[in-house]
Amino acid sequence: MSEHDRDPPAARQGDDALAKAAGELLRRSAEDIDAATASRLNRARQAALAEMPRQRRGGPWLVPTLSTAAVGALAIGLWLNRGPELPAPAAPAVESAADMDLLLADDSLEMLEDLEFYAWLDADRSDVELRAELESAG
Amino acid sequence: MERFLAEVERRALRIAVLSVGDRDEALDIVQDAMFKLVRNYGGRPSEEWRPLFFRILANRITDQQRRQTVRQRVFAWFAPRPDDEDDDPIAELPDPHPVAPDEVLGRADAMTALEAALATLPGRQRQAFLLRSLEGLDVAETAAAMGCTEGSVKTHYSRAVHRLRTALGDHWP
Repeated sequence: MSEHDRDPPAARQGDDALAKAAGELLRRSAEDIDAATASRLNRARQAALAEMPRQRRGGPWLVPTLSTAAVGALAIGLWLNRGPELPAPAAPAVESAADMDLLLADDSLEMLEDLEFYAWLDADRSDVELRAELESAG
Repeated sequence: MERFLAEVERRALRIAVLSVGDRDEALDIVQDAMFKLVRNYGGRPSEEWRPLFFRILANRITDQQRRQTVRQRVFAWFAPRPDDEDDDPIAELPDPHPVAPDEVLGRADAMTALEAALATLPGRQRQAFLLRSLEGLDVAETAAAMGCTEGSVKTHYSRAVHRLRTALGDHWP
């Protein structure tokens, strides 16, 4: 209970009337300001509000949201703009039964034992050079 | 937020002017309160803005009043001594603001009388009275704005009304 509550009803009514009248008078005088003061208040308000969007723009929720959206957009873009499908490289297949016979023949195994020699023969050399080398070696 | 600030700014300025007595300083105080509210509490629910804004305003007013007190002490220290005042023509001028509210009321200037009476109140009583009567905050909101209990608000407000009644007389306004 405040001191005001302990007052006689008449005094309390008088005090309430005074507070009400004072409040109305003060509110009226608050609204009655000159143009220069109103302009300063307006500028102050706008300057304060300019802080608001900057704060919101850099808010902690915005960074992950934008990152997720960017990754999603990139994925969709790549999927839509992908190039024509290239033919899959065909596995080397054994063309015919004759090739298979060649591969399985005994002499082909002997050829594998001398693989280095055949590779040397296959090198890009002219017959003249080859002969000269054979003669010098022999 | 803009609508809220536009709605309260003039009453906030009135409270600041009545508290610090200088319009320019009062405008600076209101501007500071606006900045602090937007920066620190712009993301809070809008129903919290009013008590927060007036809490910030009240703190800034208190800071300003402390500075004024220090300034007055410094000026009093360097002021001329009573012996020197005989030759001061300014000291001979009549007081432009006679404080007696009854005399002011005699001139039928209710607002001037009210301002003079409000100036005689202790800071916390004036604050409680202005927040309740001018801004229309309820007891709980006023307590939040003043940073005290609801019981303290009731006491400050009640004493303020009593003192105003005594200062203004029964026939005001």
